[in-house]
Amino acid sequence: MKIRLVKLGQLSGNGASIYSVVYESDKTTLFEKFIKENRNSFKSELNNIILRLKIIGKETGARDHFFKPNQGAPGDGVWALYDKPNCKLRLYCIQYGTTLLVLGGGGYKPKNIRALQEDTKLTKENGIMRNVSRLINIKMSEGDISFSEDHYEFEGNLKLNDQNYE
Amino acid sequence: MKAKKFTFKLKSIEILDVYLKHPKQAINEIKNFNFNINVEQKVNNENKIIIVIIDIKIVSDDKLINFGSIKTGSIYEIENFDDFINKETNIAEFPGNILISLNSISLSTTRGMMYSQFRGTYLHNAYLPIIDPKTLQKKGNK
Amino acid sequence: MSKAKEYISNTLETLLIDINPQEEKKVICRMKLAARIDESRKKKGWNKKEFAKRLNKQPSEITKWLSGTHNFTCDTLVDIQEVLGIELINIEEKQREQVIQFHIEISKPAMEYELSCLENIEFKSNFYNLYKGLSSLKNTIKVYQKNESEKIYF
Repeated sequence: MKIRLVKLGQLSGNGASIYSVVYESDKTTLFEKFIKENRNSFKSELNNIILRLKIIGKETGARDHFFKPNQGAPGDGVWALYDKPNCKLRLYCIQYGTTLLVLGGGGYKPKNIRALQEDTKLTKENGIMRNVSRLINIKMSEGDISFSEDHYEFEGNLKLNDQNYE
Repeated sequence: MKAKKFTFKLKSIEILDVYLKHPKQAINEIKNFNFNINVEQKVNNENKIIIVIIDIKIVSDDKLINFGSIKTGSIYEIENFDDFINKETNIAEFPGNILISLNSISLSTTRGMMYSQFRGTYLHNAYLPIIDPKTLQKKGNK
Repeated sequence: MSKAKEYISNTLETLLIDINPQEEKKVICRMKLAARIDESRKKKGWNKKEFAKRLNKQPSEITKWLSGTHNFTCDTLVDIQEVLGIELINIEEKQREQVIQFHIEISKPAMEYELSCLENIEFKSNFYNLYKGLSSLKNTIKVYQKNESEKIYF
């Protein structure tokens, strides 16, 4: 399954470049899917997430303390945008320093779970981002993808081949 | 300390106020023209400008009679304004010689404006003498 | 090197338009405060644990403060700025202009005619007619013309 990295112009700016991932079959980004899945039930929380991402992109950058780190495998950069204990949504992303962020999906975070593995939706979305991170790393090690000089962009062949896609 | 470049241009000049009042005494009785000069520099971070306002009153020896006055404004646009902002206090700090130069330019400009306003009047000869801008006494800063 | 295509999402645009400007200002403030505090903490060379200790708080509280979602109380900001030695709250009226004032008083005689000597300068304006004391100027020029060896610089 072919996937590609796209830059979300509406959120990117002097703070950071914000990307997401488009699956060939879906034609929408993982982030748009997240919006569509949650905009009816959790509109105000979703608005807050989008606002924070916009401020990250336009002004502050993707500073570490705006995220919950280590949501994936050690060192794969899969993090979650900070969600307070009483918040209902979790959004996964991959952070490459403060200037580059790749948004994935996420979902409802039930109160009664202690670890994401207890929720199938969150597990799935987390798995997707771990996979995307792995694919990007492979492409980087092969020299097909690199960072721009200012570290604000991905450069190269941004089409990834996901053989694990279900 | 490395010298900083100061790039600026004169954005505008304006006569803010002019006052002339024919003195009661005969003109040939005026022995001296006494110039009471106030200079105010306003640094505006937002617009990256320095405004120099010159207020000159021409008064009698006993300072009781105001023969006339003029107030002018000059706006200087500083192209590299941000280079002079102290990042910790967020206050623009310009070297003294720069401020002296701006005062000098504004005083000279005001001299011209004064002459253009007062020529042909009893203040025709009251052209502003040459002033060393370094001799301007600083009043308390705001 | 090719770069990513810029993707414009209608779905996202609908939500961005919906954002309340006042709400946006609040979130900007929270995030910038968090960024400023974190930056200052790092400058001090403190990790979160050490920073928490100095404020008698748990590290988890610091994580919450720095998340960009926290609504700080005035008291907390006062405590933080004290510990970090920075200013987070400024209740003084914002100084939009710095003002420097100078003053001088000078005098000159009212009927002073002395001019620099001018040799063979033709005035295109009716300067001679305007200026009352010009006869003295003409005399001065005559005096200088007598001393031909004398150079006059204008």
